[in-house]
Amino acid sequence: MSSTAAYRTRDPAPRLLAVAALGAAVAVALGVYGRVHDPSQELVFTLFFSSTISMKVWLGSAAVAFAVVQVLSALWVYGKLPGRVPAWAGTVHRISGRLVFIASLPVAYHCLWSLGFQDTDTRVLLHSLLGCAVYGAFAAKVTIVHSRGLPGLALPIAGGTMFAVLVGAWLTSAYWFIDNRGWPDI
Amino acid sequence: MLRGIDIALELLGWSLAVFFVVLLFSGPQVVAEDKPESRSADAAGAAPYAGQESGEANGSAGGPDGKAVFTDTCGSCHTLSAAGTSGTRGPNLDETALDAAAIEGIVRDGSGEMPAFGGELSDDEIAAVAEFVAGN
Repeated sequence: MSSTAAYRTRDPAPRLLAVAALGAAVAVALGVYGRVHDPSQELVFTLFFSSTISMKVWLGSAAVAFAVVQVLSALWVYGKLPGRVPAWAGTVHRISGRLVFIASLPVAYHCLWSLGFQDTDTRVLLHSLLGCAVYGAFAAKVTIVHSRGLPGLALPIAGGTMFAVLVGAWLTSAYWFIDNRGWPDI
Repeated sequence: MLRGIDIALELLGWSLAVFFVVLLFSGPQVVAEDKPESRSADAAGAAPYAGQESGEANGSAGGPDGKAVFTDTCGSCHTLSAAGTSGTRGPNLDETALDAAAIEGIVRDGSGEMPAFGGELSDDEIAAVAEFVAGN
């Protein structure tokens, strides 16, 4: 039996559990940091935006837009969309995923360092939980991408979970802001 | 071409991730240690809403601009002549007699239909906007 075949016949459950545990550990670690860290209430940067809230709303929304591209390109690569799959579809999928990650980082950093994990009301608590879960789902997904011998459904489930959690985090923050006060000036 | 972008973004993404993780643990020392100087000197880059409006009694000196915070965050729901806003969803703040401390509490924790902004605005921003509303 070849090493690849042996890999495939091994029970994937322990590795799936390990991946899930890794994701949970990342999410919990971020939550613990946000809880025990004394929120600075200070701002480090606004990048090229007029205010921190503007930066967070625009970058958070950009991350969700890139995530939509990633989901659509994944469906394309998996043959779930009509039409012939071009050779660059996979690269577009990876690029959109990287852009999701990059756009989310300044937002997450500001949330964690300046505001921390808060539970002042249901929306804020949900946002805190989902924000931490985004990176847990991300860690699990990246680990699955680089793992061999896991069930074929593992990656779509991880990707779908990350997308759902990211959209949830956006709905409880940027969308809430836009719904109440409109798009902030850049 | 796309492959090159992909590789560049991969490097950028992980580099930024490492940078922000390091900053999470070293940030308070790196950034806040010289807070008094940086607050005034670097206000345009670091303080929220700074640089949008100035010259009036808009909040604490060198800190967040209370008028700008109000306009950006509160104006769509509240009327306040000093800020030039005409929102009607919440009370007309031209008629409020609350002091800054009471306004701070309402902004932070919410009241009635008004949501809490404790998770959205920093303490400095809340103090600045409360001071601005109470003073106008």
